[in-house]
Amino acid sequence: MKKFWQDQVKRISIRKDSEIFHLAEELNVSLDSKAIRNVIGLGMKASYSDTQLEQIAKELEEKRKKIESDFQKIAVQTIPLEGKYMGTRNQMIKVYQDNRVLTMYLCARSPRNERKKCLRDRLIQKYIIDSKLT
Amino acid sequence: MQLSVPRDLYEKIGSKEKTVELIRIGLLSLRTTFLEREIADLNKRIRNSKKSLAELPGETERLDQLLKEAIEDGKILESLLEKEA
Repeated sequence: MKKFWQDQVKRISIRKDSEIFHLAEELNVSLDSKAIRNVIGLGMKASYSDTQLEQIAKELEEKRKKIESDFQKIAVQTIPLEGKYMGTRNQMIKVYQDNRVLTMYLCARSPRNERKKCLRDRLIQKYIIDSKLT
Repeated sequence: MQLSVPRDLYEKIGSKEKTVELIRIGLLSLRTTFLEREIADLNKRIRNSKKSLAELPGETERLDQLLKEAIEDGKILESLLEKEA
């Protein structure tokens, strides 16, 4: 089996500090024979030379850094707004849940006063019948 | 260090130098693809963040209004329960 495998691959030596290892590590690509087949396939299909690809990668890297910096600037503005939104939302959910419990107690009551009766009906409608909190 | 290159492919390419060059070009090509994806992803996140930036103040204000109403309702509920008790 080992002999068969050895026949299937050609071992080639390259320097330990070769750029290939750095690139493979950076891209999290293994360098087993299957991966090498795929990588060579990409190399064969590439429309650019290695120098052109280096230049393209350099430009893309600069573009990525700039966009990342833009994103950080926007994120700094968004984070406090999200915090405020979530804080208000959580507070509202808590008050709604408390009101729902109080409304359930109110269901058992039947006020004689017409105004209170209207208030009771409105609150039952809002916190029990129409409530999305289940 | 050694690389295990599929023999059929190596024979098709013809030399060690050309094989190493193709591996390097393949990896560089992959790197540009990854960078393009990262940039597309970052642009998408920027668009979403800008959308949030525009919508969150209004949404928070809307929730704040609902919260105030709910707090008022809570007071009414307590008063109704106290008086009916």
